[in-house]
Amino acid sequence: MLIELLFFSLLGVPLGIVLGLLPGMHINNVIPIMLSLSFLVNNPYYLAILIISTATVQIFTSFIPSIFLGAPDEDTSLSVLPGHKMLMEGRGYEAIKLTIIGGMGAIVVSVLMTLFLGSYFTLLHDFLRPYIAYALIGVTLFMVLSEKSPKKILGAFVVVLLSGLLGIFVLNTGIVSQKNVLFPTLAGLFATSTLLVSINQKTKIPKQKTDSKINLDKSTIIKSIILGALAGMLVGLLPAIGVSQAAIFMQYFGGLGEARSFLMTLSGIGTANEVISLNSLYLISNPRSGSSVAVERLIPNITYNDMLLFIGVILFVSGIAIPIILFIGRLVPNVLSKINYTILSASVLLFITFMVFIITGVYGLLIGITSTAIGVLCFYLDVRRSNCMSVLIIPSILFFLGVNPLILTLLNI
Amino acid sequence: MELSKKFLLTTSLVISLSGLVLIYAASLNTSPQKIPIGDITSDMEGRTVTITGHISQKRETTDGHLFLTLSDKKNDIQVPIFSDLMKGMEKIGVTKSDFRINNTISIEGTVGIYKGSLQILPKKVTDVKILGD
Repeated sequence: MLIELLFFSLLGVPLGIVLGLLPGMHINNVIPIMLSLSFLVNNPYYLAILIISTATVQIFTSFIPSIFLGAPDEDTSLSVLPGHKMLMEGRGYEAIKLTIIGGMGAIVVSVLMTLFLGSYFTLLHDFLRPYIAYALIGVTLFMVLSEKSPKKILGAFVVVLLSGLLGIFVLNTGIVSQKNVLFPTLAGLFATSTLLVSINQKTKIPKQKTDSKINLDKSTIIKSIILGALAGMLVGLLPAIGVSQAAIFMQYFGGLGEARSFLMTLSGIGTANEVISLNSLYLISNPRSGSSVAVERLIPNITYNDMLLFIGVILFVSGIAIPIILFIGRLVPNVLSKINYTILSASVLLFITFMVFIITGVYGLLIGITSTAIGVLCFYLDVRRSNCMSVLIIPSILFFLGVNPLILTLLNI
Repeated sequence: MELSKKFLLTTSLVISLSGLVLIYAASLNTSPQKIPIGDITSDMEGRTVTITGHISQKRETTDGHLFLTLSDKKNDIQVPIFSDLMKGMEKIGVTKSDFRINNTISIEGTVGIYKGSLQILPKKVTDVKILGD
């Protein structure tokens, strides 16, 4: 059995890397295919391990297209801007290293939290839940009011309003499957809009440095990792809170204004969520990540030992995949420096548009065009792109306030 | 040639607003597929459908949720009506006691999977219709 467990753990490494490198792709897009192949594997644990391994490696790898190409998946959309900023400073490889350190550090912290405090998570869930709506309202107000001039505050308000309306519509309509609707929405707000602006401005990538230097002090690194793990815990425990909402929350309340610390925390939220979601699945039978939903389908009642086995897989494959991802991260800037970035951006833009059409159809394209326009609007209004995250925050506020049924009945959607 | 900031600002605002109007109009004009309970599969997760069946089981929780099992002939499916939605229904005069065993009801909602079982999640008051005995 040990050989099979190792085999399926290791098989997830190349799968996760390929999936992570494909612009816009997310583990949630391929889980249905993986589950449909369950008849080929005689033990559900093998497939569960393959899914966990693929999901973990994909989280680390997906920062490469997000930072170098501006082509994120639904969990890395917020990394496009800080990643792009570092790319323009010639520090793209450092950005990749920061996401690796943040992600790995948060795995270690969240594993320790799960082992020593895991049984208290249900109490924490019950304690936090009534306050989440107010915390999210606070974040939204802070996002808008902290813009630097009255004109920009008005601009941010317009972006929050448009993004919020878009979120209410797309997250509650049946025109596109709810399983895939975040892909065109977030790709438009953060990826295709950035690519369009790059094409219009004929952006050129400066020569990239691939030294081992990390321009961040130790205490900020530790703070970013801990905040990533804590925010990952929020995502892993609470409904309607995704990686991006938690990242915005930490950016404003955790003081993560700087690109480097924000990238570390964002990556940490994704990886910690993988660990904490397994704990939620074990404790409250409530999966909070795409991979833990799949695990629950394969193994309906996971035991404490199962959870430890899956956490062991996360640690093992991370250790194996990280050197490979760093190698790819060092290779990509050299390749990019030989390519016309405008042509590359246009190609990625076409690829994402094609994928949106294939996965979500004509209505997905409509959502993609609308969200791209909001992303471009945000850029030319010169307000923070994080205001676009109202697409998820406003629906979350309505959910936690318990007024979602009322709003949907009024809108008749 | 780089396009001017003013042109891009105006164009993106117009496209954003038009797109939102079109998405809303499409949502209003798209009626979910009516489907027999037995035809719902896990591949349909995330899609919005309408089902009709009779209540074969009913369970209320202390925190205000109502869990129904809806059946047609040989198949059944779970329909959770969460407390927020139940409160909205109570405002228009529909209470938990109106959901009686063997009542026929129609539910519009999103296909989901919870603990390995298929479920339909209604979101708004008009998604739940009691058709009679």
